Amino acid sequence: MIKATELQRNIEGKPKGWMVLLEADPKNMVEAGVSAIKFFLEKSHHGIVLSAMNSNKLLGIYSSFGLDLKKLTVIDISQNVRDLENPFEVANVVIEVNKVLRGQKKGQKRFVYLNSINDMLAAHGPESSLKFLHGILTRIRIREISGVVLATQSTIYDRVKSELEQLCDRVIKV
Amino acid sequence: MANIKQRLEGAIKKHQKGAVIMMELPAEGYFEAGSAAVKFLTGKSFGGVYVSFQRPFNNVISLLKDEGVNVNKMLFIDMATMLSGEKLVDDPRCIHLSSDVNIDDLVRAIYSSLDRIKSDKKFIFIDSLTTIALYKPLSETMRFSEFLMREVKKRSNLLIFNIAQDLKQKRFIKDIALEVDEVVSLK
Repeated sequence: MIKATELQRNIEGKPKGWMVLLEADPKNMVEAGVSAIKFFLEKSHHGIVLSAMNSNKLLGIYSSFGLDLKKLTVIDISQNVRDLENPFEVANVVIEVNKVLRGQKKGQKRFVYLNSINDMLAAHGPESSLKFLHGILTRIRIREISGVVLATQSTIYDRVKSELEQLCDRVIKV
Repeated sequence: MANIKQRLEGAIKKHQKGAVIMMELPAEGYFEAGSAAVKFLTGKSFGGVYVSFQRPFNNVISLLKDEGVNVNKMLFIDMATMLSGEKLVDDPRCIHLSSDVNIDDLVRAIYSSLDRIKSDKKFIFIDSLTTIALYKPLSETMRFSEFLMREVKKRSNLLIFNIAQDLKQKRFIKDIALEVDEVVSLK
C-alpha cells in the first residue's frame, strides 16, 4: 500500500509533467496502483488510464476497490496497439488522449496512469516497450500532464529498470 | 551533489584544452545529478548546448530553473520532441531541426548552436546516449559520439555524455567509455 503522504512528498514542488515510477512488490501491485489512483481522485483529478492489460478486467478490479469509474477514462493499449514501434499506433494513443483532454472543462486537473510496464513487456519485449514509453512520456510531458507508471519487480522488468528510472522524476518502492 | 562539482572541477583542471567526460549517474535522481553538473558549469562562466533526448524542452527548462541553473547561458536541442513528431515550442533558446533529423544534421546543429553561445568557455551536454540508441542504430550512435569527440578536441570545448549508472555495462557504452578523457561515476 502506498501512503498518500509519501506520494505527496515525492511530487511536492515539481513542475507539471512530473512522472513517478511506482515499483511494487507483486503481492502489493494492485493495492499500490489503486492507492495512487485514489490519491489523485481525492484531489479532484480526472484520470487517463493507459492499460496494457485487458481494460474490462482492469475496470472490474477498480470497481471492486470502489474507485469512481466516471472519473477515469481507460485507453486500452492491449487491444488497440499491435506494434509499439509503429509511430502511427503511438500517435493513435495520443489522439485518444487528446480526445479526452478536449472533452474536459477548462482547468480540469488530470493525471495519466500506466498499468503496467510488466504487461507491456510481456506482450512486446523491452526495446519496443521502452521506445513506446519514451514517446508517450514525452507527449504527456509536452501537455504538462503528470502521472504514475506502475511496475512490478520481476526478472523481465529488471532488464529495463534503469532506463525507466532515469526517465521518471521519482521512484517510489512499495 | 558536492561530489559532482569536485569531480567535474578536477576533470576540467586536468584537461585545460578541452575534455570528453562520461558522467555515470544514479538512475534514481538522475535528472537532479545532471542538473547539478550544468549548474556548476554555468556558475563557472561556461555557456553550452543541452541536447535532450530524454525530456521535452519545457520540462527540462522548468526543472533546470527549479534547480537554480542560469538557462540564459544555454541553447537547447529538443530531440525528445523531434523524435516524437510533436511540434517544437517557439522559444529563441530552442533550436529547430527537421523532424527526420539524422546524426549529421544533429552534429551540425550542435556546432552551429555552440557558435552562438557568447561565453568563452563552452560545453555540450548530451542526455543521454542510451536514449539515442532507442531510436538510432548502434552504429549511428557510435558515429555520433565519435564525431562529437573529434570536434571537441579540435575546438577545446567540454563534452559531457550522461548515462545511467546501471547502463554502463552496455557494450557500446563500454566502447565509448574507452575513448573519453574522464569517467565521472557517482553512486
